[in-house]
Amino acid sequence: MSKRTLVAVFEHEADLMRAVAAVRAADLKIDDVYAPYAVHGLDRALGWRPSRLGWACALGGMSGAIFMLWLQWWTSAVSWPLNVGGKPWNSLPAFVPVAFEGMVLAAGLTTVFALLAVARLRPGKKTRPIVPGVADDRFALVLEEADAAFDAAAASKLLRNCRAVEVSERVLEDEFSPLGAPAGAARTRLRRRLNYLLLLLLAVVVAMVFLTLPDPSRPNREFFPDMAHSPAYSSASANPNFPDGKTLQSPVPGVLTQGQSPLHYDATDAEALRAGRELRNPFSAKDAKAGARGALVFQTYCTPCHGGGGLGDGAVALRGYPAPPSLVTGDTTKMPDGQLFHIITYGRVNMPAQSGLLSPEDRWAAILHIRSLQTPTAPKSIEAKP
Amino acid sequence: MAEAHHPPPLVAGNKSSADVTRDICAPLERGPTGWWWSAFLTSASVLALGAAAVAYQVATGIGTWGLNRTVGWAFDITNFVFWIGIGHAGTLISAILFLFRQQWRTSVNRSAEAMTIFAVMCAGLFPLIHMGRPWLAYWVVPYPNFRGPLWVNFRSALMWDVFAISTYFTISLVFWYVGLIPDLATASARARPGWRRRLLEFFSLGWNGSYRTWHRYELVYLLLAGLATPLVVSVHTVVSFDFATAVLPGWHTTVLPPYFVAGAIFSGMAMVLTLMLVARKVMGLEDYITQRHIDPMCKLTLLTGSIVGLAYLVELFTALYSGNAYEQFAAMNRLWGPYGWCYWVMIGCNVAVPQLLWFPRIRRALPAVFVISVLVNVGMWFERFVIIVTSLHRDFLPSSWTMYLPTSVELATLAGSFGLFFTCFLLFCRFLPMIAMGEVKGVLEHGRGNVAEEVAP
Ligand code: HEC
Repeated sequence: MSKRTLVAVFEHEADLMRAVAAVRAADLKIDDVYAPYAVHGLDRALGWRPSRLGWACALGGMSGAIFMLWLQWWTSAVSWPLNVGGKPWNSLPAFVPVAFEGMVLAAGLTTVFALLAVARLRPGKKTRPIVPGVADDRFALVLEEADAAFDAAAASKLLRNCRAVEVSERVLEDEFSPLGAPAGAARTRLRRRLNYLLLLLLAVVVAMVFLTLPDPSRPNREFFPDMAHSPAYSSASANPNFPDGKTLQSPVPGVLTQGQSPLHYDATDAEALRAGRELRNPFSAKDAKAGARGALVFQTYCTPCHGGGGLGDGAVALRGYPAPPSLVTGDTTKMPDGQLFHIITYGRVNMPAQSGLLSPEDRWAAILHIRSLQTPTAPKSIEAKP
Repeated sequence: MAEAHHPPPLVAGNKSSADVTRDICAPLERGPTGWWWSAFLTSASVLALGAAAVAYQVATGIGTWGLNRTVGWAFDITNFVFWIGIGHAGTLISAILFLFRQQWRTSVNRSAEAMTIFAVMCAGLFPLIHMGRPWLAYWVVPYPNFRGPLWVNFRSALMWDVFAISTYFTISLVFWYVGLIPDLATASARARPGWRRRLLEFFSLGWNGSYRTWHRYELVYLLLAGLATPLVVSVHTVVSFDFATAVLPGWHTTVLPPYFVAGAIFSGMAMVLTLMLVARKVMGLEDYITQRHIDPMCKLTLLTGSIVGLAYLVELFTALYSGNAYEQFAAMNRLWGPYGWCYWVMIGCNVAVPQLLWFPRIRRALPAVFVISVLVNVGMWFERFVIIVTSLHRDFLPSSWTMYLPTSVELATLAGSFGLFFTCFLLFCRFLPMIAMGEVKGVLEHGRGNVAEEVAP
């Protein structure tokens, strides 16, 4: 959009101010004023409304503060609540400084970007001064020749009376500033160079895609692994620091794990008899909870050989494994609990030791179940239970 | 009578706007002087020394520092607080004095703001190196990550520091740049065609002096000043929280925030004076930075120095009045302990020496002002050292009492930060208009007042 204007040049601020007053008194339309510095009081002389950029500042500041408050609350109280010195999840007073900084940062940046947007300033924008020296010590007053009634000669006279050093009629291209498009050739050259650069970038990106093509047999390339990988050996990985090459070391022989009480017996029949004399079942036959646990343990660990009813007809035995004797008749009924515990713990002939699989409590509970199988009122197997 | 009270003009030599443009752009347009080269080469080589020291300590680890179990903060945090404090005067001059409509600020605000930016850069360096693995510094930013996501601890004063310092740096930079835009346009209009002109043009954003833009620009500048003023107060307050929120005697006091803010402005004022006194000579700007500028800066130094002196007294009084044996011990240890001499250097340089500025004769003797300003900087460095090291080295457990001595690596890093500061400042003097032309032109006396009579109606 172009418009016809009258451009007057002044050398002194006072002349400009007087010209502005005179022009406004003559009811002429001022398009713009160009000055090397922010002339104090000129906005009032021109009768311009104060800028509304203050709203941008207020809005930006409020959003910055609210966002930072929310972020601090959400990260500290919702996303991953970490106990820091026993402080509450929502430590509002501690969130004030950062919320304040967020407010200032957002308000400042919003205001400046809003200025650049409304004043149409951007990096690399080409500009020609409306008159030479307007960035140095000259002032230019631009009157808009709004209609045919505009008397250019009279206006020039008025301006010269106010000591305008130069008055000329000009056609300005843009609404605010006399910007022409920059010389075509230079711009094309710049565009072409930019194109080459982008093409090169594209080629590099495509090449990178092929170079880093995922190999499904290997983990993907990681650019920012952060703290995903611990320098420690994982328990199942090989470890050169131990003679046996394992990371997870077995405990030193004889070590007791936590909560375990020692058993001082050898794996012999004589010792089994001694255990029969010395050990007592910690659970009573009336203990329903232990009984249920024993039934579960027996079904899980013992039925494959001993069968559901303890008759020695488990699936393994039917397929040729030396069949165990019946647990519900004969010798077993006469053995004291302690002896059974010894046999279960240390094993006997074809009966494997269960100490590595079952806790002492579970072994005693299993014995409780065997006893219940031996009493005639008991159901023959747990499958028979409702 | 009115004549007698009329103060001398802010800018000497009855300059016109055209003179201002020519004078301020001259250093940009002529080649660098011998002075400039020698100053630049000196500071660049000190910077190189510091860079080598930093490279060595990053490669080796911060065991190269003299820190130990008890004194876990010493040179690094001393330097950090020192540099952050230096920055504060820049914002005071550019923002607070702008709100107070102090016209004398126009000649010094540009370089004071540049000083702020470079000082904050120097300050930021120390926590960064202290992290030990500076390449992971981005972990202080709360961004969604694959570590949980694991967030930063917003309840920590150190985290507040991260936000305060980065906001301060950004806003100072933006404020400085916004102030520069019109001057960049002025400089680019004069520059000879070439890369320098193209760069100036690029960054002047197509500024054409339209008053529609000036009109908005004035408001934006006011808003930024209004934002920067509470910001600058908050920054050193937060820095003081690093100490005040700890339970260590000598740190755990409520006087710390105002004490730190006053100290920051005090040290910064002294640094502005040091820089300006040198710059006006070396860059030939005697007409622009006159007694009208140096005098108020001296008075501000005196004022803030006295506030700092009061804070020292309050500190001692608090220790006495608290009746707390640990506080009293910490105070006595500051005065008479193994680092007592640092305390007395601090008192001498920060409280005693600036009192000389009460005398107009001394404020006019520029070499004396220069010496005082340098001494204040020394004193303010020692203040931070005293606060940090004397509190730490005698903590609650006598079995862990120890001494701290800086290593050569730490000394080289401190020197390097000065190298960085002066290198940046010299480059700034050489490539950007050192004085805000657009603002100085608005307060010139030339061509004002007597024009009206010349024009016949
Ligand atoms: C691998 C098959 C197998 C499993 C599993 C098994 N046993 Fe045995 N068990 C045997 C054999 C075989 C014998 C006979 C040992 C012998 O010849 O003395 C036996 C013997 C016994 C005896 C001694 C009986 C007696 O009168 O001499 C008891 C008690 C016993 N087992 C309990 C259990 C319990 C309880 C479980 C489950 C925790 C269990 N067993 C699991 C195979 C097994």
